Amino acid sequence: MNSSLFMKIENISKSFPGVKALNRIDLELYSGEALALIGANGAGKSTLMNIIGGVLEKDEGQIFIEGAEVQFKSPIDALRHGISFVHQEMALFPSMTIAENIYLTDFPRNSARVIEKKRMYEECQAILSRLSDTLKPSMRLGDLSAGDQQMVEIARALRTNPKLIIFDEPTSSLTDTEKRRLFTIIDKLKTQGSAIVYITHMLDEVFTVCDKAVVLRNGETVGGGKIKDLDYQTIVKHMIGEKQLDTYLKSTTHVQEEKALEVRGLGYEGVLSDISFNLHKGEVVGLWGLLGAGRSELIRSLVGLDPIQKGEIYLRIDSEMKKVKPKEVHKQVGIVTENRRLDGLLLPMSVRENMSLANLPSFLNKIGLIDTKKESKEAKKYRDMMSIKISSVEQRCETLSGGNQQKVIIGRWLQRNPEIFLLDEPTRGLDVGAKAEIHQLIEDFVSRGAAVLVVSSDIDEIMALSDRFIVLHQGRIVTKLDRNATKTELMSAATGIIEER
Amino acid sequence: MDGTQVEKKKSNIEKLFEANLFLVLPYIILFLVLAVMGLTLPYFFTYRNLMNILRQASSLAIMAMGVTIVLITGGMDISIPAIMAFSGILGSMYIVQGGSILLGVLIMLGVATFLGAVNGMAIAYLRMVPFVVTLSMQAIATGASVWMTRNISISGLPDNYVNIIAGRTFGIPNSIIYVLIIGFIFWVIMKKAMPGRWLFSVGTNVRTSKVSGIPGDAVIFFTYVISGFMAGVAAIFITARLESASPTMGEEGVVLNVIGAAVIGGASIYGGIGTSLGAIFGAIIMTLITNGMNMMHISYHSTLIVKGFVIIFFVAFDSLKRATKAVRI
Repeated sequence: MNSSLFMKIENISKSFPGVKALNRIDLELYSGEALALIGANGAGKSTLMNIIGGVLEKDEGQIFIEGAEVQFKSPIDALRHGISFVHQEMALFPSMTIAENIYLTDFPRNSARVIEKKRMYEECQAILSRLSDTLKPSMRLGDLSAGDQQMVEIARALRTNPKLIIFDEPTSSLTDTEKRRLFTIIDKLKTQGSAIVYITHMLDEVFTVCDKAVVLRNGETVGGGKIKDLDYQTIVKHMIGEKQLDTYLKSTTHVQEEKALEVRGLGYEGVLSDISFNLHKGEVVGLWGLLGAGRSELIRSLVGLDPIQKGEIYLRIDSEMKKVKPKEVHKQVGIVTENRRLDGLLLPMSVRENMSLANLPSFLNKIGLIDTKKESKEAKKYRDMMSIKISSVEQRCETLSGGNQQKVIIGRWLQRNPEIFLLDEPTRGLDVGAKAEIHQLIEDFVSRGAAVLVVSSDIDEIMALSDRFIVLHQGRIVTKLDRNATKTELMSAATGIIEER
Repeated sequence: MDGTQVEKKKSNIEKLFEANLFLVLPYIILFLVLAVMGLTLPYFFTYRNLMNILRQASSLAIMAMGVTIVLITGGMDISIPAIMAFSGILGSMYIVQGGSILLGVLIMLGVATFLGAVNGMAIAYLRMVPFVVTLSMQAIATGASVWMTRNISISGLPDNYVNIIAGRTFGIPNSIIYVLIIGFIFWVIMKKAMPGRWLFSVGTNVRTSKVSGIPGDAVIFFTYVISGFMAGVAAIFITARLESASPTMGEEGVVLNVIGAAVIGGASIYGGIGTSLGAIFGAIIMTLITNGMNMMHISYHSTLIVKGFVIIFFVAFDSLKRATKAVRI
């Protein structure tokens, strides 16, 4: 394999308001080699690749291509220098043919500026035949499987004859067979002399397709080297950071014997499969996994917001476990979704109206109208209890800070005094103080016997809160860990690797 | 936290103006239109003409209230006038052929409600686009109306029937009294009762509503049922006022008037905002424009142009308000 240095990155830094996203990153990319870029959510992988792809401008540092320094002002600049992107989210048009999708930004045209359809289809066929025997330029994209659509995405990247191809989480929607095919193609591209950057948090793939790896954490390069010199443990340790490896264990526990919720064999094709677990009174169970593992989908399925095809749910009703439908679960639990602006709040409406939303029947007076005085009184009660900082309960929710907004949502469910809370990223985007307050609220729930299922992408947070962990990977429970689980165990399990203790 | 501070920095007058400009704008326009009409038309401010305008506005107000409910959920219903004409024709045919008035009225209400439910089913549960569904319903109902009547007006409705609406109580036309009663009921339900709170919450954010346990799809379904029902009520009003029924009751100009009345009355085509009182005032403004321009001998088609511009102006105002707000957030 001829390995010549294609791109060299020196001292790249990038800041966003309040965050140092990248701090003095160095990187070398060789032709004919695949480099794995590894890191947990928010490590800086995307920022780095967006700089290389010309989407973002760097604050400091230099980029050299084949020895000469380059400045990228736009994605087109990067494209001209032979850099192509295969995106994670497929940005393709289902109603168009493969050829139209590939040439959308740059149709071949004749001197009269009319699209040369024949030439387009011929050129397209030439690219496709590098990847697949079955794909034809005239096929409609919407008729293809996810794997074939991914092939089209790659074909689009190949159209410009790139020297560097960046794959951003390319396997997230592929089946095992499709993955293997993708790996063969990446190998082929390598032998044809392309440099590859492979962004992922699936470690098993790294060992299959990549030659080298670089691990990012909090915007810094923390490790890497030749794949053959690395192993799972080393990479995982780099990803989570070696110091404070096993701190933040939950100190007190309120777990009771009685079950509050039991789930058996829950499944929906392609999203969740065979999910079974118990949730006890007074227990905090941490639902851990990487982005796209099915955590939010599981929470939404439990209450019927997403459909299920298989499985049974049992709920404690009048001190007996009864089989119930998700709709019934919805009536009995408090639920905080991961994006409060999207589906948590009625932003232009008042704190009072937002808080009473799930509990309106209890505010009806004798003639069936809403008793707004009672509504205000109840809202004020929870405002005081959670010290929500508002000028009045009539204040519109869009004017509140994130922490206060989150408390309004929690207050909405507290009004119903549920036995179970399902919390999806309850502290996302909150400052340290607000986080601590939400943590204290969770502690209060369990101390009075409620059960909590919590999702968090922050490993320190989930470790500090949980009595037990359920780890999801690609819609399945890979393992259940007790409160003594280490960060390494959690992170390994989330990447799909189960270690024996 | 930042948001709170920004909120406090604004003066009270500014806040009051910001909050209420949109609400008072229809009334300012109403005043201006009245002033122009009163100054240019000598007979405009006679008791007879004003009562005539209010009577004409009453059926429009009924339909505008129906469409306002739909608009609040972010939907659209352009089939209301066609449903009104179709159900009005069916009921009138029954009454004219010697059927009981009560049953005739129930036919109008029942048929219109059923067609509204078909709209609602397609939109809320089959997730079809409101515009396309109600456009198709408009075509079907209009076509059926013409086919049934062979485009001939059905006349000979008995006085007992006509007097329900066209009669007077203490000198005030019954239709005006009914509109006020229905408007009040709508106001109570929309502002004070749980279905109203559900309506506005679904219109503001249907996802949040569903997460909070509100049956979002059912709420959307029922808005179209109510809108259909109101078309039935309007059918009674119009057939009684005209003492006949014909397919032209639901012609294109009426759709414009209904949507226009709702939008001028403050209903946002983006959902989440609207009042019954606004719909009534919007209906009066639309009728004033029609009536006034008619008295000025301006042609029907020129009137359409003016109405089109008026509606665009209010929708633009609505969009502008949203755009400036989006920047603030």
